[in-house]
Amino acid sequence: MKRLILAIVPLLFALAALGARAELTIEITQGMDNPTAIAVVPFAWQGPGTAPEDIAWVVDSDLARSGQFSPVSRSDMLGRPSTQNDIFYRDWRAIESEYLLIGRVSAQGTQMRIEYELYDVLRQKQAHKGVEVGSVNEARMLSHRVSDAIYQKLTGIRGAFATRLLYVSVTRVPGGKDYYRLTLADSDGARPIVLLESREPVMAPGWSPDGTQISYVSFESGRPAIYRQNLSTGAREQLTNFKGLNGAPAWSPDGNTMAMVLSKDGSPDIYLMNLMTKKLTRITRHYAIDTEPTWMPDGRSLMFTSDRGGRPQIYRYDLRTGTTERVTFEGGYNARARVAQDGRNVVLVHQQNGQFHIALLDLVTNRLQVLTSTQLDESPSIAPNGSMVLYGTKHAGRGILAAVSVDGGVKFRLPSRDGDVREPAWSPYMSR
Amino acid sequence: MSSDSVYAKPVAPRIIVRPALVSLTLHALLLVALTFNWANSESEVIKVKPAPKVINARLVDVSEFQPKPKPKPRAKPKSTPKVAVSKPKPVAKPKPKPVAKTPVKPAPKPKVEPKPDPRITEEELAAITRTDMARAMAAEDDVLEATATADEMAASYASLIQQTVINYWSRPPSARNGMETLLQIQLIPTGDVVSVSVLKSSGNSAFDRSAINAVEKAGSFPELQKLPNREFEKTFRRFRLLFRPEDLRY
Amino acid sequence: MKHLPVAGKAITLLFAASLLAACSGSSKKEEEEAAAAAAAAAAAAQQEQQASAAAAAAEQQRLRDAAAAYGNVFYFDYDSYNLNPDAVSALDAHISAMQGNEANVRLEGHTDERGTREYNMALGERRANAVRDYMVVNGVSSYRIETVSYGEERPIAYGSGESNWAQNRRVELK
Repeated sequence: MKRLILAIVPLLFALAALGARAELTIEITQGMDNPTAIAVVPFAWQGPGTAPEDIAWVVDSDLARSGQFSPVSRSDMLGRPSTQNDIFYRDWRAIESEYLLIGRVSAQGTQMRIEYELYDVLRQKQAHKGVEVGSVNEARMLSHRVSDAIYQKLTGIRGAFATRLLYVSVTRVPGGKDYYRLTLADSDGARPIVLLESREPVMAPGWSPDGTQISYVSFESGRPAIYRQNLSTGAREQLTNFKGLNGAPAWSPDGNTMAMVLSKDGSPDIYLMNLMTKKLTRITRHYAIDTEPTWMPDGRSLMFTSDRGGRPQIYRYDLRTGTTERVTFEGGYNARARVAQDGRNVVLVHQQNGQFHIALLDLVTNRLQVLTSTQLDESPSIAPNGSMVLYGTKHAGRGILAAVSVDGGVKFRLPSRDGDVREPAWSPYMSR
Repeated sequence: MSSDSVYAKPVAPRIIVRPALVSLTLHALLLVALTFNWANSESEVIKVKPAPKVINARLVDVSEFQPKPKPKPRAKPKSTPKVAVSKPKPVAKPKPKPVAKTPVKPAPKPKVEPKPDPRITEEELAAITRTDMARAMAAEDDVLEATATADEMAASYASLIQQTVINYWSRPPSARNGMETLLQIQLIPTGDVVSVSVLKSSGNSAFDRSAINAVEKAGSFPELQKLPNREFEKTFRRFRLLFRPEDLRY
Repeated sequence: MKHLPVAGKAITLLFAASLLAACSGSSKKEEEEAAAAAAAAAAAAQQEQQASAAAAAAEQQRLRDAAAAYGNVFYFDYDSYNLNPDAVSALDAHISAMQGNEANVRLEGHTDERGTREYNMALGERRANAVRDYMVVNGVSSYRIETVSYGEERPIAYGSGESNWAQNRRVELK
């Protein structure tokens, strides 16, 4: 009997064991989002003399600037492999690098060839490989294409390194007339080219959606007028010559229409110009200031700045219904909106406590979030992949360009030479 | 005539009521227990609220992009570097420490009792039954208490694993709240991760990879060596990690 | 045009004098006296004409100096395009000076650096227009006035802070 009764004890154990044979699942609902460590090994140059460009260094800088990666310092690298056979994974695990990028560069005449491979150090296998071929003069742009491929592979988002920037650079002449230069550069600020130089102001640079033309406002005639220019031929066309304001040109997503601000009919209003016929259509008819039009990516509506409510706020005009509705309600000054390609994120200039910051408005949640800690911010421009915002601000008394990631986590300043730099315009994706 | 042979004496079958009842009840209980759905079928989910995350925006000056060693913003340095640079052979595993017994109440061993004498009196049997029942119930309490303590322990080690993985998880920019990747993890008693596999993909390969990387970067959970072997085998030899962010902007 | 009455007077005098001289038919001495008188009258008339021209020129100069004393830059408060009393006084002086000629003027509107560039272009235009409207209301023909806005693109003072910003919130009369 005692045996029977006391037999329950091991049974209870068995029961307990049975119950716990089900598996434990631990939920991970947060992260630390540390940048991914990647070793970008200097690419081997397989030609005579010196390489035209330090390809790996351009890639290293691109990835670092994105904030998503923390490239390993070259002085910490224990080896310089350039082919798979040269790789000793323990060398890279030892310095806690998760990924390894190696490559080989060769040239023939004016053409160069970059072969590269990305390795997963933790799993010890190849993650990606590719080839870039092009003119030796375009070595930097080819490097940016490598960065784009690596970025896309590891983040799932298309890279925007192989893109370009427009901006206005001003050289002050105290007591005289300043020099204004419309400048074209790579997305990292390298290889600047002056497209237009004037003793009269130049402003509002912008890109056509296919990246082949640009638009801007120039005061060279003594009054502001809107121009467009073909980048490859340099051919220019003056689009407006009205009395009063001619400003803020903005290309429609299909490239056929230019939105603009004209005050010829009494007060600043938004107009649309058909670029073929030059016919004008008036969009706003309000005695207030309506300015800074920008298109939604679907081309069906426009955002613009208006002080019809007293002070500048963002409004939205629907082209189909002809209705206008207010979009921003937080703060006393919201202006100069730019919409990301996802149609959801909008960057704008937002005044808070007397300071002007770049803020992000989420059109779905209506949440407004200040992104910058700099104080006299203006002219935000979003990268074509929506990840980064370039804008103008002041630092040490001079105008500079700065960048902030759309989640506010990464910030940096572009190196600037003498003078003031302002009004960045990020190009669309560049076709090859 | 009456014989004295044991084999001749007919033995009348006796049904002892109380023990029989007890036996029946216990068998019934066993049946119920076997058919009842004990834990929530597949898994026991541990949800511990970690500390709020602090986001540090770094102001990076371009001069930092010169070739010089950059400080790595690592949240938690790896505790044991597992690689010796000079040896070309695979890494020698650190000696597993002897599993220390935690101060858990030792499981009560079933007492070895002499065979009950069928010729014992009813009163004596009743007395023994009562004592044994009491002892059996005490043993049951001990088991339950041990189970409770074991559950608490499992929860605290699970929380430790959770916090470690969080510290190593870098979400890609394409990550969104609600994405889910379910990983199967296998450990050995030293706490080293010996296998990571995807049971259920989020559909986003960069997101899946970030989950796997978090575990591989963590590499091991050496604190698990303090677990009694039974607890380790029961809960941590093989378990799952469900990556489902809730703290992203959207 | 003010000279006309004076000139007229002179001519009338001359005419009268010569008429008298002619009609008198008197002696040469009378003729000489008449001629002298006529010449004197003409000289006097000329002097008067010159004097009044000089006076007019002097008046014009005085008005110009008065206007110049105010300067040709009118300042504004932050985010405002209202003319403050100083601007009004200055404008009054300029308007007076403008009555004496047909010259065209150009009004250039400016803002300080705060806020967005295109919005500031519109704000600069509002300031220039405010000055133009005041001039027109006070008798200056609108076709004489050209307005251009430079927004924040042509600052006088490059720094930040109110002392710099205040210098840039302006309309310049040229």
